[in-house]
Amino acid sequence: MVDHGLSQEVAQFLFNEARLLDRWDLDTWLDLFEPDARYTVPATDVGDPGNTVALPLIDDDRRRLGARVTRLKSTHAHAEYPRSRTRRLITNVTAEVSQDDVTVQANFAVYRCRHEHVDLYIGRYEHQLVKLSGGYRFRHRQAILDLETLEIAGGKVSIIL
Amino acid sequence: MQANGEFLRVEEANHTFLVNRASMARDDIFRAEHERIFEKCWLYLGHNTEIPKPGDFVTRTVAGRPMIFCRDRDEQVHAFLNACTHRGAQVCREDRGNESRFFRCFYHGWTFATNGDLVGVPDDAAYPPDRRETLPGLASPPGVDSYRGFVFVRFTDEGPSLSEYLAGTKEYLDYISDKSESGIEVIEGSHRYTMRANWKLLMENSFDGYHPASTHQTYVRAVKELGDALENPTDGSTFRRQGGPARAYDLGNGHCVTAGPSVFGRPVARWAPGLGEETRSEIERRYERLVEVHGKERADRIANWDFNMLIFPNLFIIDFLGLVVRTVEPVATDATAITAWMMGVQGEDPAMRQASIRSALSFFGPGGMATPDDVEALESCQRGFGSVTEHQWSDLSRGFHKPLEEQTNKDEMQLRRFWTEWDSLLWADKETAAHG
Repeated sequence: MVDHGLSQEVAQFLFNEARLLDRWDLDTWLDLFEPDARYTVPATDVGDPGNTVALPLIDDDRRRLGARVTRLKSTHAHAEYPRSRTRRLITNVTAEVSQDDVTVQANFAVYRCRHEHVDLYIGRYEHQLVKLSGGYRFRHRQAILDLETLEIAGGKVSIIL
Repeated sequence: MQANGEFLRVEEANHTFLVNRASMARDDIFRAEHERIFEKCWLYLGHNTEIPKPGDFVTRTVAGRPMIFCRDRDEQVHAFLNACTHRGAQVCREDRGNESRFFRCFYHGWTFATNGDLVGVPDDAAYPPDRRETLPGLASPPGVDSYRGFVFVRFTDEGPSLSEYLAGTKEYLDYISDKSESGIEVIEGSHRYTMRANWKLLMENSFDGYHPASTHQTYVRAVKELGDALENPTDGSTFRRQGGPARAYDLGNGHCVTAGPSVFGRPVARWAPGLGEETRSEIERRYERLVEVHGKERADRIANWDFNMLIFPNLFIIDFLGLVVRTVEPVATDATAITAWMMGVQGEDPAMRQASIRSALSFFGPGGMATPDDVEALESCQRGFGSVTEHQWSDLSRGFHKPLEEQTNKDEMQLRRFWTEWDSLLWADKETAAHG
């Protein structure tokens, strides 16, 4: 059952998260992840995002995500230096409690502006959150693209989606 | 080495090999190379394991053609042009699936069996019986052939057989096909991405061993931070210490490979910590089995060597971290569509498959920690070509003064071979046209 109060609370969490990413405050953002967390982006032609033996675009455990953040902060992460400007629009947030986790669904449009192009990523989030005393933390953060190819997204997923 | 001078400037005495950037910036050259290269060469369509069952199909574009790659009810593999023989609509509009019986064009309802035969024409009484019998089934390109499950098409019936064309690349297709007795297969899911750059820049980049030290330093640092596969468990050599012993080999017909002993982990079959402790016994078992089947020398070659191979003009097989198959479709002078697949061992368990995928995924693909920086470099080149009037020549002279057998992957022999083949094909037809 979708919990409306919970959904509103989770929406605030997602809006704050989006703000951190748009500000490139990646260290603070990384603190939102549990030690056993995963960050995944399925391939655009895999029907079932839960298919764990298919080729994804991104499949980071917490260690790899940490390495990704370290890399992105470097001035030698050439695809993102000079840094792109991003703007994340998040809507249709619903949340429900399932076992110990909070299951979240939301829609996103992420705009990326760089080199006089505007790239657009469209899709939905399917997250698993855990609620701690200090707020929510990601157990699984998944961005599922509606795009068929990455053409309109500038051909790459070099930012955090 | 011959060069006409317009696109290549080759001065052996000065150890100089230059490529005219106009070849990557001019629309007339883009059209010419489509006509003289993509209409003439064998081009990769797909691998048999993408369509394992009768009725399986995938659709994709090759040299501008919409194609159906499918297996008919009698297990026969086909490559069809995806256009109805009646009025041209696509008879299959899905990416992939299984048509247990027919491809049916929805426009007027013409229906084709999975072997291409025309089996249904609604209201066919409008044709006299003799005309009705000659209505055509789905068309195939003049050339369709395969080697070890890799299927290629060619849109002319002139030229060498696929086997002759592939020349020295067959040795490497054998290495990867022999990774397991159960065979290799394409893993579900692909990377479908694009770059705002000329396709030839990616051909250069995909086996240019000179750029990683600069372009990919954040990747190398990340790998170190993760404690991944850099330590060679047998001799303790490291990425940096090894200093690029990978060599470049000319495989004929414009194909080249850079290859050498790996310092990284390989799912088949060189275990390293980055692949995870849980995969260790299986990877060691795979190595032992390779030795039993092929003997130690060939087993070491299959298990321990990384390679990046170009099958001219637009297919890369990259056996590095994992097995990647990558092909490009030139879209415009400054736009390229790229499709990449990974291959794994048929029937491997899910944990092994996940480990294989993750090993390569950290580097490869539009969400990896290296490929986006490659694309940034190539797009940066394309933007730089805005100055082609003033800066006409790119320099590909590294190692040009050395004999062929001393060329490493950090030299540019493999790039020079690509360009020499490109140039000769571009001019071969021009001469025919001029004299004919």
